Amino acid sequence: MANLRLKDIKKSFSGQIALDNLNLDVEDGEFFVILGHTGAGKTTTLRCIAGLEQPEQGEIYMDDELISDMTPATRDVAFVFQEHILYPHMTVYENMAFPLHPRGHSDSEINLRVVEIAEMLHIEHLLERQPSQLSGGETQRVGLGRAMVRQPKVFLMDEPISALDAKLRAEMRAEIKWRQRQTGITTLYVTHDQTEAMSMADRIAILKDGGVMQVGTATEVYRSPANLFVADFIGNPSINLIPCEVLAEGENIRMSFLGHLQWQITEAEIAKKLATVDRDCEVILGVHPEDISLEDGQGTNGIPAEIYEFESLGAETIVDLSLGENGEGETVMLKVRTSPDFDKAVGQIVSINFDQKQLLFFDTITGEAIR
Amino acid sequence: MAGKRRVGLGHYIILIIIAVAVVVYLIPIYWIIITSLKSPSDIVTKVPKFLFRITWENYQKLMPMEVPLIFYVFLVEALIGILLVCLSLKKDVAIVQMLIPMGSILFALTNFYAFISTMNYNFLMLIVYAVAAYWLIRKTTATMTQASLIWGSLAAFSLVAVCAVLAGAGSKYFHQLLNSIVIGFGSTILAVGLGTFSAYAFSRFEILGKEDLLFFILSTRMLPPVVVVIPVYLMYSKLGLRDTHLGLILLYTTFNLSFAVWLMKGFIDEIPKEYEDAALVDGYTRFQSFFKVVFPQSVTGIAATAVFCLITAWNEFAFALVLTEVGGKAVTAPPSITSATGSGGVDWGMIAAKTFIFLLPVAVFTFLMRKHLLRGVTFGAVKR
Repeated sequence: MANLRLKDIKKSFSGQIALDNLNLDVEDGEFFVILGHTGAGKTTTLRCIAGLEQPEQGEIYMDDELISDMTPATRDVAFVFQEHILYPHMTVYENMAFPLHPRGHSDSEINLRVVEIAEMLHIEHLLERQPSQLSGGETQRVGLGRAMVRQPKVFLMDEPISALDAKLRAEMRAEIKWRQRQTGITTLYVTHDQTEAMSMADRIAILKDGGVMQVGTATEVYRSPANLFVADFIGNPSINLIPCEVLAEGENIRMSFLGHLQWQITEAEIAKKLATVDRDCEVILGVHPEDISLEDGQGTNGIPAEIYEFESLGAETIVDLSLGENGEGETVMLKVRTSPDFDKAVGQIVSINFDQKQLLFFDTITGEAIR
Repeated sequence: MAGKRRVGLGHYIILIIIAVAVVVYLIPIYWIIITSLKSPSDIVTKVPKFLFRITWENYQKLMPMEVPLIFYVFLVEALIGILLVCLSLKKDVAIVQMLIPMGSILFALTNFYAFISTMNYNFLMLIVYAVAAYWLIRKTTATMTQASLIWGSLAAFSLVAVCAVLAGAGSKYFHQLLNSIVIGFGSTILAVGLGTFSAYAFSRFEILGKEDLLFFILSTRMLPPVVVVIPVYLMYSKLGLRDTHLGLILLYTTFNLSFAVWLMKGFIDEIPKEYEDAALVDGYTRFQSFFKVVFPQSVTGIAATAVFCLITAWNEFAFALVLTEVGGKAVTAPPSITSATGSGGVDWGMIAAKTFIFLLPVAVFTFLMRKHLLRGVTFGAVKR
């Protein structure tokens, strides 16, 4: 168990920058998820921590001890690779015992430990098999078991369940999370799936182009994303981002879409937020699909919109609304999450209201959140 | 494989073509065998004789005057080994496994005897036997593959011991054959060993000027080796390497190294890097992860490379002739075979007998490696 600190890590591959002054602080015992698109530098970060890549610049501390110059063997981390690496020339048992051999355990200790973990993962009946005889899910379990036989200071998991089908993935997600809580070993978990990140993480770091965009709990990154990138990344269906104008009449702040749809900011807090913005300028409004309510006909402070399409998902209904065309002739769409007893038809005009407390605003040019 | 395979006319035509090809390829070997069994008068007839009296005199000429008793011990041991290999190739023969401890003791005893009695080549015997005996005694339980490997190596070592005994008793040809074995296998082990290591380095690490170095290594094969025979002769004379085992081993290693590096690089490239990464993170050193992870998975490649290297070194003639003295201590079998042309004309019978014995080791070695060889040459053809 250990905390982990990455300081100004820089790494490039043949001129291509992979990590650009990356800073991360991982607390002891934390389940820390690194989220990002392909090529954001997630795996490189893990490989740097494991010592499989040497950063060009920067320091890595584990338990406040500099480990940047240590060999992978002495860092005492366990790495779970994306494609579960089982050695084809060894049985499952030998594969699982493999990480224990260099640590100077006796054979009986190794046996005890392997069997214990195998029972925990329900793979004890597979121990004598060859890896080629395992199914995908079994391979995954063995791969996890292989990492878990050791009690490392830090677990590094590189998309360990991305190759599984959806049902098994959900199962493994809960299982990994539960085991992490049981053992309390600091875990760094890399994924590109935001659902996975949100459901598992104590804290999430969102990476883009080798830099950290935001670090925070699932609620923090969902409710107050630091910038447009984070806002757009987190949430399913993703957040509605609509360019709009801020029109001020004294203390009164009105917002305007597409030049003609206007509505009043009634929430004082939001008004205060927007007071810092220059008058009559464009901002980007971010609103989560569940923060929009629908009303029949014309509401008091409502914005008229046409129902474009809807998807009934059982537990909820996702409604696509059309607000009209913008200057370039593109239809501006809005996604709304409503209750499953949604009973309106396509083409019907409704009026929408925003839950103003939850509105987010972003600078059009920098993409940073306006707070 | 569901469904019935249609056996059409084309199938039979292919079979006939293959049969003809097999006959064409096997005729020379057949001819060598029957020539080696003919008496000199039967060999030189104008019309080739297919019916003749079998005689062993050609082989007897290769044997020493007096055959020591230990020769039979080794021969029996070799035969037992071969028999057990055949048995262990059939699955579920528990007796093969049961016999392993007994075999180990028998093996250890004969090793000891061989070490004391055959003063020639006892350095080789000592190393090979010590390693084998150690391994055998440690291995009390083994899978079928391991069992057949154990008995196979026992048979092979016993056959080498047979050669050594005959050479020790004064047989010239077996001495030369033993030279071929030492030089052929020695250079193969060196070339494949060095080749594997450098291929690993080329495959895994960022090396300055990697492409150029690889091309340079390949370029050593662009020159026909015979071109450099005179410079090598002069060099070896100065260095005192002429007519030594070491000299020829080094030379053949040089020939084969570039080939081994390139072939092995292809194989090692195919092994995912993550395998070693996992081992490194688990606390193994680079060397350990190489031996425990990369090596077991490149056995196929190593076997294929070894076969090719061995065949090159085994058949090499020009340098073996130039760099050794006539009747010298490091003469290999190929020059020895041609030396049967003496004042009394060409002794075809002896040439045939020598050739046949010369053919056997590599033929058997290649036959044993055939699975690896087939996988080896097709391996890496499909890029992922």
